[in-house]
Amino acid sequence: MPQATLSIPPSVEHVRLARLVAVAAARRVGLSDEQIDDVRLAVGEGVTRAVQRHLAEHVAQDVSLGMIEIDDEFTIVITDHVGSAVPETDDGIALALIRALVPDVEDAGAVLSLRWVRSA
Amino acid sequence: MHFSRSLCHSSDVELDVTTREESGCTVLSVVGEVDVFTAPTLDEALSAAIAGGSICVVVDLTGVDFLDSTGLSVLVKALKRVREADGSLDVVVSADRVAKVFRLTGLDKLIPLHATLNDALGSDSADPSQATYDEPTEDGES
Repeated sequence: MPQATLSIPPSVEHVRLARLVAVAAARRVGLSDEQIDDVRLAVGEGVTRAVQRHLAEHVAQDVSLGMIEIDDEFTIVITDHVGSAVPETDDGIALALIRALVPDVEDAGAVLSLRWVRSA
Repeated sequence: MHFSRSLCHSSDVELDVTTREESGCTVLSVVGEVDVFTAPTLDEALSAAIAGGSICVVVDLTGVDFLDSTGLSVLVKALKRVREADGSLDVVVSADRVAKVFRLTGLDKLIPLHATLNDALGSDSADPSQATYDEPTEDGES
């Protein structure tokens, strides 16, 4: 079960780094070009949301990005350290985009899981 | 007028916005990636154009290979402001990965999209559903 984790400070300039790493991981596990584009955008939205939650609540801990490959599944888990009860900081577009881009989404507030299945 | 934003320790400009007048409209040529870090630069450029009296605004995203919901929010905010002045805001998109963000959010029905700058400047009645988009030519961010 190959697994990698990236931790970034909760600042907006680091969101691009998270996108770049997620795209590299998605390419390595063999997702299609279209899926890789979706990973880029969905991870950008998810990490942006996490960073904004940290900034709104003045939480200095890192946001983490876990990338897990199991068989044909590629899962990205974005974890923040803000309580799930904290109101959303965006207008809902980010989550709507994520749900449109990712086949399997689990949103537990502080933990957002995004799962793709490698195309045959 | 020229706006840009980059990481202070990097020579790579992440977003560059140049504003010029063309065919009676204010054209903002945007190059780079529009995200939560760089969107304020686009917001600043659009606000300056609108505050300067522009009521025909064209945002050329031909040079943009990534745009997220924060970029969309900036465009929607500008659209509201130009419409308050009975003006228009059109967007030029050539990369399908960028056009897809407008389609998924339904904003392609709110903001007129054009495949080329000439289309945006030449026709008020261009049908965005007829626009053709180039397939992405690169598969990663640089």
